[in-house]
This record gives sequence, C-alpha cells and structure tokens, in this order.
Amino acid sequence: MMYKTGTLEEYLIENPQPSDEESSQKKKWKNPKKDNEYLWESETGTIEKEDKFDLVSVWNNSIIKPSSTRYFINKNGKYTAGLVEAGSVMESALKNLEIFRDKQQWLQRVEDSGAIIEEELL
Amino acid sequence: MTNQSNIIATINSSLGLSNASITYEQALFALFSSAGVTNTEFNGAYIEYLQLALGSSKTNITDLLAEYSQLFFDGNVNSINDISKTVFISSWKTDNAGTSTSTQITIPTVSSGNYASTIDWGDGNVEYITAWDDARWTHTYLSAGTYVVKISGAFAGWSFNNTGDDEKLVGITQVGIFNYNNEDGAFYGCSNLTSIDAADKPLIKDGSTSAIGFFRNAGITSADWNLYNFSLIEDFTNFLNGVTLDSDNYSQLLLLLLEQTLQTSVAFHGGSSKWSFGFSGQARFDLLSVKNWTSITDGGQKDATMGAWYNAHNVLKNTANPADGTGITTWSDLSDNANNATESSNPPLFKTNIANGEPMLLFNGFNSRLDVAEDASLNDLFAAGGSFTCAILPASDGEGSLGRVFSQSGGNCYLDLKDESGGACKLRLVMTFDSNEGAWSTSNLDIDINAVNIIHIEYDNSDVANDPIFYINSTSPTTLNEDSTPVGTATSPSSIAIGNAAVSNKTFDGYIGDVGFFKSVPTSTVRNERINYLATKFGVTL
Repeated sequence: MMYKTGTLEEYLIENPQPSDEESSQKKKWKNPKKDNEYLWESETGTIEKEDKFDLVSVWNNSIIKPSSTRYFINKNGKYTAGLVEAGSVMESALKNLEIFRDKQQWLQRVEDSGAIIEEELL
Repeated sequence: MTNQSNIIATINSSLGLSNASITYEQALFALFSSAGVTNTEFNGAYIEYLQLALGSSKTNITDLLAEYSQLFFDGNVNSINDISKTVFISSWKTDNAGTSTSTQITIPTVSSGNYASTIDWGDGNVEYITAWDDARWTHTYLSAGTYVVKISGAFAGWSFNNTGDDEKLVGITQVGIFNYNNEDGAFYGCSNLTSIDAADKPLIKDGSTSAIGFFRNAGITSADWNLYNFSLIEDFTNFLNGVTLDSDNYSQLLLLLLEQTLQTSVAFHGGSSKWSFGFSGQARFDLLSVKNWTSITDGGQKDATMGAWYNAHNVLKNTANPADGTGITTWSDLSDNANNATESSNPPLFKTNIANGEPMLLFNGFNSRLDVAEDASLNDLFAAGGSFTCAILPASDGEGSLGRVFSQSGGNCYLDLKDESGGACKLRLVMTFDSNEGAWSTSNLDIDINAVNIIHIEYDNSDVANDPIFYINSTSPTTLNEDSTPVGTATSPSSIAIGNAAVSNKTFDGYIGDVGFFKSVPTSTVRNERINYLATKFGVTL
C-alpha cells in the first residue's frame, strides 16, 4: 500500500482534474487530525502500519469505493479478511481495520494470523 | 373408531372424491398418494411423512395413524392443508447451462444431509430417495423444458456452491420442508433464480447459524425479508455478494435486521445493494454502532448526488454515540463522500433525548460551528439544481437575529433565521450573484421557536428567473417573498459552515438534528420521503 501526504494544492498538482475513473482510483483522503492534510495513492510514497490505522480512521473505519482493496480485521482473536471490490463500500466498526492494496502483503498478514479465507481470493 | 367416517368424508372432500365406502386407511392413502407417495413405498414414505407432519418420533404406522387421527378429533381439519404446505416446490429449466445434460436436472444434495424424500419430478414420475448420493437425484426428462419439482417427506441439506445445475433453478414457489442446514453457498450461482415467489416460509430456517454465500451471485433483486429471522446467524460472509437488491428491498432488509436481536461481531455482505437517506440508511450505521457488527459491505449510497448527510443519531459513524453534553469535534458525513464536519475550538454539544427521544446537536448562539472543506460533491450546491433538507429546533433567531443554519463560502450562499416575533421567525435563503444577490424569505413567521421544524429547500441558480421552493413542516410549498432580485451570474460557493457564517458572528441558537445536502432536485416522491422521514423521526405532525 503506497500513499503520499500533502496539502490539497499538492494533491491537485499531482492529480490535475482527474476523470471520474481516475478520481475513483486516486481519491484523496482528508485527515481531520491534521488541518489541510490530504493523502492520496502514490507510486513513490509509502506509509507504515501505524499510518494505515490513521488512514482508515480518516474514514471512520470505512473503505469507500476503492479500485480494489483487501482488508484484515482482528477482533479479540477472531479474524476477518476479504476483498472490497471496486465500487463497493465497506463500513467497519473496528479501529484495527487494516487495508492493503498490495495482495502479497495482505496474503502475508493472513498467513501470519492463521486466518482462513476463501480460496478464490488467494 | 367412531370418527373415522368423518375423517374419510373430510379427505374425500379435500381430494374431490365421492367414494364413501373406502376404508380409513384407503382414505389416508389416497391423501398421501395425492402428494406423490406410491403403494410400494407405502410404509417408508408414509412413516416419514406422518412423522414430519406430526412432529412425531413414533415409528409404528398404526401409532402414527392414530396420532394423525387425533388432529381430526381435536377439530383441526386443516391438518390436510398443513400437509400440502410441507411440499418444497421449485422450477427448473433443463437446458440451461449445468453439469447434467439438457434434458436432466440434478438436485444439489450434500453428504451431510438427511433425506427421506418423495420427489414428484413434474413429468408423471415420482420417486422415493433416502441416500444423499442416490443416482436418481439426477432425473432425466423425455424432452428439454421447464418442469415443476415437488419434494415432500424429509429433506435436509442443499448447496449449489457455484457448481452443478445452479443455473437451471429458475423458481421457488413454496419452501415447505426445504431444510437449509447451514451449508455454504446454498444458492450460490443461481443466476436464473430471479425471484422467490414462495410466501410460506424463509429459505433460511429459524435457528440457522450461517448464511455464508447463501444468495451469492443469485439473480434475485428482492426477497420477502419479513419472513426471515436472522437472530442466530453468526456469519454473513458473501451473503449477497454479486446481488443487487432493489433499493426498497435492501431498505426492508436493513430495517428488519435492526429490529431483530442479532449476533455480534458479524461481517455482513449486502452485495451491490444501495442504501437510501432515511431510516434504512440510518439502520445501516446502527448495525455497526448499536448491534456491534464488525462490518457491512454494499454498493454505497443510492442517490449519487447526496453530497453529505449529517445525522445526530450517528454522530461519529460506526461508533456508539457519545455521552450527553460531549463536544462534537467531528460530525461524520454518512454519505460516501466523507465530507466530515469538524471544529476543534467551539464545537456544538451532543444532547440526548431532545425531540421524540432523538438526540440533536446544540449550537450555543454565540460561537458554535462545524466546518466542511470544499469538495466537488458539495461545491456549487445549487448550480444545476440542488436541495437541502434538515431538522432544526431553534431557541431564537440566533446571533445578531440572523443565525445561520448553514453558510457556503462565507456569504456566497446561506440559509438563516430572522425577524423573530411571538415565538416564531422567518427563514431566508440568500444566493450571491455577480451583479446583485438574490434573497427569498418566508412571507410569514413559518419557523416555530422551541419546536422542531422540518425544512426542505430546492433551488436552481442557473437562471435568475428561478426562485427557490421552501417546504416547512409540510409537503406543500411555503409562500415566499423575494427580498432581493438576483442579477448576473451566480457565484460558486464551496466550503460550508454548519450553524454559523464563515466568521463566527451568525451563530445558530438551538438544536440541529439531520442535515442533508444534495446536488439534485428530487422527485416529489423522494422529497416526501425525506420530509416524512424527518417528521416521523422527530415527532413532527405534517
């Protein structure tokens, strides 16, 4: 999963007037913890695990209409892992929702946890 | 048995027979034959049939018949009809794609199932099958076509799981003894099952604990969810994945779920079904914050033009509401746009039980506010026709006697209260144009102080000839005065302040409950749905 952070102006410089399709794939994410800070998908930037939590908290634990995102939730040892398909919305009540755009990272997380997932997602 | 003649008469009547000389057993046999039990299978099927009908554990045919006759002695003559209602009736199109040939169908029994079933294949053939892997579960017809299959007796266990003859199943008209046994993917892949016409029972029986992939990729767009009891379902993984329910039907499902006692830590999949502004949309978020579900996946909001929805019932979405009196530094936008309203220094307060038991946010009349950053989903709200719906409970006409419900880009566009007198005030919409602003206010003091007011406004500022339309506690428009006539071209407002102006000198005084911004003018049906939702919620009589 790779993201960059910056101001809205910086976002617009890298994402000038995106089309609807691009907009859904390069959606900016507002960060209420930091005034005027936005996050967006990037080919060059990365964020650490803790940042992932910040990222989803921006959306109150929601994954909203991504291009395609895998998620992992651990609640009291009960694991839920799956795929949010393009255009779908997943609302989550848990703070420890982890989201992954990188399938291999997601698979590693699932493997480490011992969670059972659908074969078709592998 | 003296009442046997009555039983015979009842059965004769039910079956349209007139032979009064038949024996008691012959009459009962005629009854069961009508459901497909053959003479050679008399004992096995008959026993199973009676056990099922009576809920009896007796295995002796005489005892069962005696018990069955007790139904008549008790005057329950409808027991004949009850038995007919135990039949599971489905329709199949043999030449749809599947693993059997174009003149065959295969019933998706499972190794863990329990079967003692009489199958009327709809072509005159009736068979009695007890083994899950009996080759006769695949039936061959003389010609391709659509056939109605009736299964009676004991039938527990069913799963297509995206294989077999899933695409050949085209209808279910009676659930009867169909006994789902928590198998994964029961109707997974039944893309030609476009409707479920059965109204007798749910396909998921009461007490089921799993609904994994139950309707996944099925062709249905609706189901009568009011039949269903989901209280023990622990796993809704992929429940409706690949399915798009009609929005009204998805609303029915969400509302039903919220009414039931549910398992916690549930991950629910609603497919691509979309939710709407109103009680059902509110229920979607309550399932997470009140029912303690883990997640809900669906197709998002139905109305793509809904730029933001703030609802005091779900202040911070997916999270239980805070304690009474808590300062609300973030009011979640429940729409898919995440236009959260924030304020760190002077937030309004969350107050419980303000109107009809519902919470609202208290703006103090001197510095409270919430700000929403500019976003394409909100900018130029009224540029090509927009609407605004809210519920307010004002204590006065606000700071400077011009308290604002909302303000967009400072003073470019705002809705405020004014001219308070005798416990009421006026409502005004101001829209800035490059030559002269437009302003419209209610002709009368239509906003009641210290009472909930449901406000709905529609406006299209693309033409100076257009006037806004106000609805206040009514689905009929309110009379307006044009205080200032617009000239020129409308400006392009962007960021929004709720309960204040850009500079905090026009603070709203009182409570605000729901606020919805829409970049479209709704149909009259949708408009009334919005107004009625808020009126019902806050106990306002329209």
